[in-house]
This record gives sequence, C-alpha cells and structure tokens, in this order.
Amino acid sequence: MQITSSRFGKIEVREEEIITFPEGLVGFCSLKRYLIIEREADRPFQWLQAIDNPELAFLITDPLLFCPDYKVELNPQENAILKLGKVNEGKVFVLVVIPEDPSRMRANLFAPLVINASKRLGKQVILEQSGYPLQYQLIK
Amino acid sequence: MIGDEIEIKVTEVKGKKIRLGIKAPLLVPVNRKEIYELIQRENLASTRTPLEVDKLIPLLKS
Repeated sequence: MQITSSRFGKIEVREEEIITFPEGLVGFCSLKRYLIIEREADRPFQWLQAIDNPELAFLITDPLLFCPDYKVELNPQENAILKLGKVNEGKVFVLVVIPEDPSRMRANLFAPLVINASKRLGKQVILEQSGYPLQYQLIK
Repeated sequence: MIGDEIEIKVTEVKGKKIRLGIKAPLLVPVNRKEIYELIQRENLASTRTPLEVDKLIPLLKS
C-alpha cells in the first residue's frame, strides 16, 4: 500500500508494519492505523504517521531518554487491549510538542503510547494517579 | 450521595438544562472530560511540529 503523507511524501507501507490502535488516540478515535517513521536526522524523535489521514503525523520519543525513572503501569482493561504477556514487553513512547519557541519543547508523560510490537497493537494510556505531567519540559 | 464521599446536587435548572454540582475527594477523577480535552489538545499540538525538526535537535544537547 502507498500513502502520500504531507510531511514525508510518498511512503510505501507494508501490511506488517501497521500498528493498530483499536481506540485511536485521545481525540482521534476514528484513526486506528499508524506507522512509526524513523529518520536518522530526526533522532531522538520519531513519528507516528496516521495511515488514514496523511496530514497527521505525531512527533514521539522514548521517554526514558529524558526521564530514566519513568514507569508505566497498565490496568487490566488497558492490557486487554494491548494483549501484553508481561508489561515490560510493551514499548513506550510519549508525544512531543515543539511550540513556537522550540526551547520550550515538551513531552506528554501523563498520557503515553504503549505498543505491543509483536502483535502490532497500541493504546494511549492515561496515567491518572501517577502525578506525571502533561507538559514535561525536555530542555531544563 | 454516591458512596460516602461523592455528593451530587442539582444547582440550577434553566429551561431544558440542569447544572449539577459534584463534590468529591481529589483522587476521584470527576473531570474526565476535561482531562480528555487537555490530552486531545496536546495530541493535536504534537502534529503541528515545525517541518525541520532536525535543525532543532541540537537544542537538546546544549
């Protein structure tokens, strides 16, 4: 399958690369199929490109690079969607926002994305009781 | 009352609309909708990243 992303142009998508978020992301519940795009130049950031809306690519990163103690705990309902055998099999990403003043770039530690890489399933979980911030400044 | 700690009261009736007041301890997530809206706003903001992200990455290393 080929999609034309407004950010990346034409992308060839192989079926096995597609990650399904059965509930979409918060506010994007109709968009369920995504692709992770990694480009050397953009490291440590990656992109979560919505397959069914070429204009939507979310900037993501590995939270452990910025917050080494960061920990995600799933409740049984969340794990029912992700079907993880052990929680530590899940790959965690957080969404990054780069505002007009890029020195204020921030990550959402409150609602991370958890991905079951082997089953290609994902979910945005809300760590309501964790005390993690919605806007964590990446540059101190 | 719901349980011992949550109290719901009708505080205003205006035509077909009623306003509810909810008193609950801090740990009970009353404002789910508000939380969702905040997350949705951050999600959307994350798609509005400037095109040339690679030029901004050195900022992280400073």
